[in-house]
Amino acid sequence: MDYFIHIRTRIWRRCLAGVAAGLIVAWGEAQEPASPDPAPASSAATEDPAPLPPPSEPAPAPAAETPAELSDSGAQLFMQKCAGCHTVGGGALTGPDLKSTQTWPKQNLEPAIVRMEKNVGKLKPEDVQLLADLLLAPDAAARIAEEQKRIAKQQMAKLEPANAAVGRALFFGHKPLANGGLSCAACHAVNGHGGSLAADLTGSFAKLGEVPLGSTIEGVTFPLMQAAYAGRPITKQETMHLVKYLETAPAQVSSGMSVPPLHAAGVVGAGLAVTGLTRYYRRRNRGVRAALVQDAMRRSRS
Amino acid sequence: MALSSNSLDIVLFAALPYLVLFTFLLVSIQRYRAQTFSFSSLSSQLLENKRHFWALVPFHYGILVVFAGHLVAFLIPRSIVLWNSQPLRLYVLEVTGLVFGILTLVGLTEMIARRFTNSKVRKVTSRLDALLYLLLLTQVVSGIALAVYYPWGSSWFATNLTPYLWSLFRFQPDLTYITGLPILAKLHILNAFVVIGLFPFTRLVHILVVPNPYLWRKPQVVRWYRPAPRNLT
Repeated sequence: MDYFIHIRTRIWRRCLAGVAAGLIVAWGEAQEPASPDPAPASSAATEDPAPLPPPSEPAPAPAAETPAELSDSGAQLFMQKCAGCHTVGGGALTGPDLKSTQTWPKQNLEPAIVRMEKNVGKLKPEDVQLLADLLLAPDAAARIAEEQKRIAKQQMAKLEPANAAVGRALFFGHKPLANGGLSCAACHAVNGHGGSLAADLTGSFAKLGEVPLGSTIEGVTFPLMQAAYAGRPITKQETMHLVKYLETAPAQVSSGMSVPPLHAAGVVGAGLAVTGLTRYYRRRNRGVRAALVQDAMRRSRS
Repeated sequence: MALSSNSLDIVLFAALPYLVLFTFLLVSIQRYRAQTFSFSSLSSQLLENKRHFWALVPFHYGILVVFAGHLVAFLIPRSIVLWNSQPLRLYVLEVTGLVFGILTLVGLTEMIARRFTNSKVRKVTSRLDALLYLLLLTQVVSGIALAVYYPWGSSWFATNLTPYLWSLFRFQPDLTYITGLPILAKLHILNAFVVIGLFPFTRLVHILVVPNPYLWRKPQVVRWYRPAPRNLT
């Protein structure tokens, strides 16, 4: 009984410790997004007229670097919620080009944005306002382009420098690709290691050059490869590592297992399987009569 | 030229599959209704038992494992890709496939040799049987050749063959997944379709009436007519 109570108190203590740890983590996470948040929140709080003046602000923004760039929350929101299906002046994607909405009255535009909730999830009233103001602004396209540039710059800043060792690990599958695509060695070989369904990539860097090779990897240009990587794109970062690996590969010893030992293993394995079966069943196929005759022979001998 | 090869692909990989599936279903059902007791492997075990055993056992162990591998890659391709994301696991899977593929070939070769060298068994062998053996041999040899010459097939089956096969079952055949495949892989796929089409006309129908309950039925008491071993009495 004492032991039981002891266990219960231990469980309680662990639960309390777990809850405390959870709270600390949650608090930490709540703190983190709080830092980028204030900018959009403050501009959202400035209500209608505010997002309209910012268009003039982003222009000097590049010189002023990040803090001012963050202020265009309308364009930021557009990139998060709308840009997957719409452009402004860039032509139709899955959804129509929204350039024509510039001439819409605001009271029609806002309900139209709200109707998109079925695709993008709940939108706050201030988000709808921001998006409507952006779409009605004459320089919406420029603001979105600016935001795209900012995101691209941010992404580039986040990328690590290309690393041949990481590239090799990605190529041979020691490190999985972020989006779950096949490792390259499933179909390609370098220096005699890897698959042979697709082209041997030994010396591909020298043949193609850095940029075309990179865009071939990232853009997945060949039909078989397109099918294999549909919905599982190779990221920019991974492309950089892979290109670096292919650039340096001839000088390195690759770590993928070459194929012939595996063929030998297959043949040896099959041999072992046949031997195993033969041993396991060696008495099985004698037949009843053979056993009787053998028995009789033995008895007559003794 | 490109156009003609493309239209050949359409005939072989978009039209033929439906033709063979239709034949498979229709003839199997019709044969089962009309000639129920012809659903059999028409075993020649009674005519010759020794070689029969050493051919049949490796063949069936091999083909069951290989078939199960194809089925798993067809049903849960992502799991196969995830499994293969570690090179060691990939090697284990590929070698296992190769081992059982070779085991199938060993059994099949012995089956064919027995059927055509044993006079009693040859007497009960039809031309259709000969054709079936040829097709099965082509299938097994092309499969092993794929494993040898185009390794890591377990990976590219999951990403290219599985979506193609599913596109057939969705009635929206998508040939982009397979048009770029090497001729050996196309032969393997095509030959499989031919085997499926021929299936209901041959002794392969025994697969459909395999006595599964043997796996879970209660053990049967077998009484030997010879005296029990001394240590039991």
